Amino acid sequence: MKQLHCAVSFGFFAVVLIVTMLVLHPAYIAISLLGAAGSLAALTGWHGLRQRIRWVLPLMVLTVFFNAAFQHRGVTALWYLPNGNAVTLESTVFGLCAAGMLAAAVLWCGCMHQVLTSDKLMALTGPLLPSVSLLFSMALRMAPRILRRLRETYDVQKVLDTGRDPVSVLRRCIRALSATVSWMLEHAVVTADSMKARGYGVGKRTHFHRERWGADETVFSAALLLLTALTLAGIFSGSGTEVFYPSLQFSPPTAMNLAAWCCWALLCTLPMLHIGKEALAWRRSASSI
Amino acid sequence: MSERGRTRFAAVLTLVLIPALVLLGSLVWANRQFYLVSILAIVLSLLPMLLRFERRGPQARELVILATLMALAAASRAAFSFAPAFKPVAAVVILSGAAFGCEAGFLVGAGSAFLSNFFFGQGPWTPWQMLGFGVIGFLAGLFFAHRYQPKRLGLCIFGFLAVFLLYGPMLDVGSVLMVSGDVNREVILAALASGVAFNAIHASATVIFLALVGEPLLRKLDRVKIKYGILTDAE
Repeated sequence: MKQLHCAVSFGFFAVVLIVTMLVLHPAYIAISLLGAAGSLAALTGWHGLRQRIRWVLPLMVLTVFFNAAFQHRGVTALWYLPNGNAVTLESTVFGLCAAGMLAAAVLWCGCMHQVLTSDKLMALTGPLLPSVSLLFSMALRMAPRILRRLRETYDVQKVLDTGRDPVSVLRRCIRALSATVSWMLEHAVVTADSMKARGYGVGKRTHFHRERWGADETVFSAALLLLTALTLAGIFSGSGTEVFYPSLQFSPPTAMNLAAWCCWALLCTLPMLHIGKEALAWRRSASSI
Repeated sequence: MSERGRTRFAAVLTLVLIPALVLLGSLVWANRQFYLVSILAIVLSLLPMLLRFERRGPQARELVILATLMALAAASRAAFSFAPAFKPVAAVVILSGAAFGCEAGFLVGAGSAFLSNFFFGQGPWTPWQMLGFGVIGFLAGLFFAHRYQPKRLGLCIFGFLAVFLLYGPMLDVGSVLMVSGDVNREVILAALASGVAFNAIHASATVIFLALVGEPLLRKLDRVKIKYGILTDAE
């Protein structure tokens, strides 16, 4: 998945995120959530998934609570709050679906973070917004550099001024910041002059990137297009219709709807399939050495 | 495209397309897709600024200075990663806007939110942060860029109000749209109330940073601006 052409993986995440946010049907949400969790586990291992879940879970609980406590529409009252408002089944179910949607979106974003790294994103936006992506790629490289320089300056200040009281610490921080900012700005001007000397802005910019379009990309994007079309057809033919208020009405699991859900499920497992295929290919080639 | 044409283009994009989008959202999606509509609206409001910048063909010096300021804002967020809500990003964005004008302030604000999320994790909240910081930077440019050496008190008051009344509530409302599909006054008030403490810390952090390093940092930025003539004719 990480080796795929950036346009293909961007297309995949765009489709998955939009469908996830658009359709609040429990089946779609559950499939998306499982797919996102599985993909994240395949990309980062169980450890990465566990780390994300640790702070996604409270968010989900909060979402359910928020909807149940502040949303009093719906006809099935579960119990009554002290102020006379009802906690309804409908708003609780809605909260569960919204929580699932949010968690799925966050987990898919986690996968995207792994796959569409900053260099891929730059390769993607480079032809469309050349100046903006140049700006970002420079800033991306500078941020760690500034942090390191801040650290260095602070360490030197610590040798010069060994006081441990808060005032000394603050003075050292401010001195380090001041020196770093001065250095940074002068350095920026030097960089810019050097860019200009090498012909920045003279002609069209070319980009270095390592994106290749091979057989994998063709197969993946064909599968993506087909499954997206099928999923959208399923959604528009009513396999993902959901009504929460006043009472719950979801599309039932008829044969047609099940088929549509299977398309969505296949779409969500595409990253796992691709990662599995790559792992298999690696094992086969490793065993033949 | 001429300067006027570009402004008009941006205005059309913002004033026509966003209401059209909201209308579409309320008609087609039965008034429930608040989050998707709001994200699309944010993208539509960020786009004109980026296109404007792109079409202007920025100079190398401008580009590198802007990248440096963005990186500084992102690095300052990383430097204070141990303290929740106590972040100097807003202060850096405000100073950038005050020194280099509206457009630079907006770009540094939106850019530093996007950039720092590469280190802290992108998510559904990124567009809100981008718009929030972008607007703060833009307003800082509007209020302070035309005067030489703005006063410390003015900067601090602006910083407090911008974070406490603009950025914080904006993100609170954003999180309501994220977690609750149905938006009513009660839910929004509850979210705003629960965000007050967090926003107050963030706003006071901004004030502290502006009071401590605001003036010296502005002097440095002004010095570069005057010495090398960067971004001076942008206004």
